[in-house]
Amino acid sequence: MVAITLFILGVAPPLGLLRKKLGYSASALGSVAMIYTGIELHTLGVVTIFYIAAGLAWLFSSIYSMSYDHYTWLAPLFSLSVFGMAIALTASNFLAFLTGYEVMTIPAYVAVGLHRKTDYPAFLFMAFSELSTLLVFAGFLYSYTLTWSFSFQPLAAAWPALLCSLGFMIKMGILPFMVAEWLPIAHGNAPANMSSLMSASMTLIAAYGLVKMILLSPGSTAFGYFLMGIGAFSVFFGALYAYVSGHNKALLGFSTIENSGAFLTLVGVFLTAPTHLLSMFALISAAVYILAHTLSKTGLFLLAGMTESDPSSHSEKAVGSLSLSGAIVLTASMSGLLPTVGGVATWALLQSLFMEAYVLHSSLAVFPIVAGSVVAMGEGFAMSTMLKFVLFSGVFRKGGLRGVTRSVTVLAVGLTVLAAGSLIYLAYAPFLVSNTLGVYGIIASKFAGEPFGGVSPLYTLLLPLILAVLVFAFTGKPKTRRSEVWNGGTAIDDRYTPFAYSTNVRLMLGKVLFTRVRNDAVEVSNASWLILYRLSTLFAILSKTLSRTYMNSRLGWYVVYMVAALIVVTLVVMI
Amino acid sequence: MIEQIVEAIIQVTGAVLLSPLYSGIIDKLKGMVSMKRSQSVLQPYHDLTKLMRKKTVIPYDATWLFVYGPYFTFAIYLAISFVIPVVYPSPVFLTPTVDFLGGALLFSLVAFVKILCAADSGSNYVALGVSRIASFGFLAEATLVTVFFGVALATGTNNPYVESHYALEAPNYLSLDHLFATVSFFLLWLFETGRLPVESQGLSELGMVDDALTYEHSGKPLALLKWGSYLKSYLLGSVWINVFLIPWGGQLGVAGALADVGIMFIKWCVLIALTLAVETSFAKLRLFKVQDHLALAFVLSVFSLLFSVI
Repeated sequence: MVAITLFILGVAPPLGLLRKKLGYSASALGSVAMIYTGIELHTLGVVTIFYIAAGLAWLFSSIYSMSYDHYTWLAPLFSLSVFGMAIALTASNFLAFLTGYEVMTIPAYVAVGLHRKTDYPAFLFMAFSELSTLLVFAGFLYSYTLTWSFSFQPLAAAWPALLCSLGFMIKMGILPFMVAEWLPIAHGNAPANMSSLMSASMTLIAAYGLVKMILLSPGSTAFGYFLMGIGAFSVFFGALYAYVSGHNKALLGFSTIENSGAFLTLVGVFLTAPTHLLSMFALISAAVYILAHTLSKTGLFLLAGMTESDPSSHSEKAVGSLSLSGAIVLTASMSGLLPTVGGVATWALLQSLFMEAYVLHSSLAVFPIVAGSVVAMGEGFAMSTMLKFVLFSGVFRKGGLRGVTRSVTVLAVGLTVLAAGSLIYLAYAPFLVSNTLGVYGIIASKFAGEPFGGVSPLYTLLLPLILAVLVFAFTGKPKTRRSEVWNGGTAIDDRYTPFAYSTNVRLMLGKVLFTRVRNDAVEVSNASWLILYRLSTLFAILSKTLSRTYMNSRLGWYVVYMVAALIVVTLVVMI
Repeated sequence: MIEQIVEAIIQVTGAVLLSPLYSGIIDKLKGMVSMKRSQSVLQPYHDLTKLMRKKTVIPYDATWLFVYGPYFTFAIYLAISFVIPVVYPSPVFLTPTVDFLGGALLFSLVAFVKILCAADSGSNYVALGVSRIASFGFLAEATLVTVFFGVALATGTNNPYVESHYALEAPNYLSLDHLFATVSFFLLWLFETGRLPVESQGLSELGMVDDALTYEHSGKPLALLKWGSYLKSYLLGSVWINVFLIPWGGQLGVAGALADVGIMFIKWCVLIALTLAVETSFAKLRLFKVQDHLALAFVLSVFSLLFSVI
């Protein structure tokens, strides 16, 4: 089945060159095959979740693209990127994975370059992607020296996984400096269907690679705490920067960093958990988090594509009620609210951290407690951020953008997220408890025999719905009449803006955000990006100084340089 | 099972019917302390009855969300009243739907839906209030989560009913983690119910926070939103009383469940007295100072977590 899937996805790029719709149709068909492959290989455990999440995301993006694509080269580039991801996802050896990893990256670079007239976002994406590939390549090379095989095999040392993890974390936008602004810049400057691939599916591939390498390696507790720390840090700052972001798609980009942080935190719990059961719970939850993020982020980027003509915060475009209904569910999921799959993932994340603290019951418990508290704050910001997105996409700011295919696709993603929330208990097979007090399908979080907590996602959907119907039946339908909005008795000349929505936090957390108030304008800076920018500037000055002082076409200095280089290379080889 | 269903009905009915009363009592006593001629303790019921009969005015741009969202928010509060110990001291029918953390996530879901309903009106004043609510949300949600986990770390379970039994013993009740969690939750309750020193009621542009969410509503949806607010105040207050402050006194069995409604009234008198003392002693904090109040609550809840495991 894997071969058939790859074949279908492989023929999509040339078909896309001939006719766009043909290419996208082939990609959609291949995505369905990928979902089927995932279901067929259900014995692979968490891998199945990755396959299904990827397949669903590609399927929705492909269908949406059929009515979205007005670009010349986008169809083959999109299909090629999907093909690359499929290769990486199904790879059984390093070479195939690296090939897929590069095949998915290069078309995305070209798409960003063709979409925007400035080179900056495309180059930025390429630079960080290649740095990621380089580190993953180094990790694979190290693995090869341990096993003398290109296949994914159990490893005797943790270093290859550490190197690869750093590479994958760059792809997720976590490194360098935990909350790197390069990802929102790059993802925000691609066409919407490509943005959804970059932010949802490419992040999924990086997460998959990271899990795969960690599962093959001996566990490292220290590395686990490192992941937990930077994961929690990224959850908070990713959500905070998303909240104050003035650009709709950049907001979603920062949200991707936040979700990647949550995933890393769960991997951290997996590595540091004192009991096997807790470790297993954290691993399943990490995969569920990726499923929630992949589906929801796909839908939200597709929605952003419908309002993107003016990406500034003063855009007046807003979607109609069909896609808005889907958007409400998607943002609820990204806010970590039950009964969506994102709610289950957030519940599992917090349960994992605090269960670990309970089991450790020592000074080491400070790590999961602090991480859990920071994650809780980040989740609070995530909800405010998602509210901002959905309010100004169609709830507060009204619109009626048409486009049946695109609207129905966004709604379908929303319904899928809701259905996934109710069905996700199937993924937690070892953690299910039988019918208790009239409730079925309870996922029980456990670190040993007795449950720590429990939730029934299906009942959190059904119970409020049934009660709402009862309340309606009891109180009756309201008698209504239409009128102008009251708005304090004044006419609405200017609308409240998304920028104003976040200004309280810009001022309240001024020291964290480096807020500057100039001529009635409030500006904030991303600290990590500032550090990176200043380091790059320093490096550029240093290079310029070196090149003018020593590499200035004087033969003498070249000889000195070559001798020094020879000595350094010799020393490195000897070591 | 039938007994548990009856207990559940008593718990939910008790919460729904009595929640406006506690608000009425607090307002009455506040008026008396301020030497004012205050309203009847039954005033909230009169308000709700009147609003239920009134016509609903819908802004031209508003959608189904504006009209039917309040029904859903009220239903979520009803669902929460099944799962946390707000009257009866033992799990009832449908309690295992969510644990303590799941309950906190359901409270967040209500806040999310309420904001959507309100903002659907397109009013700038609503947007102003929503932006303020969103600004404090990160600390409020974090405190709610960490304070629930404070007791979970002490007991080894996130089941609120086990936690309330745990606090019955004096050494557990007087432990530092329990005390920190108790104070933290009370500070959070003051914020969540919009009471002084973080008062969020009122329609003044400078101080409008929570009332922005009902600013454009009228008729039945407004009645449900107001009733929902009373219910929220009751649910959070009762959790605080039953799990943290006064975990004693709960009776079992169907007859016990009926008695528990009365026992809860007595327990609530303590909370009302405390609230009255705070409300008549403190001045209102400036808007940006609300985060200091919440930060204190959050730090105390984190201390509670740390003390429970170290």
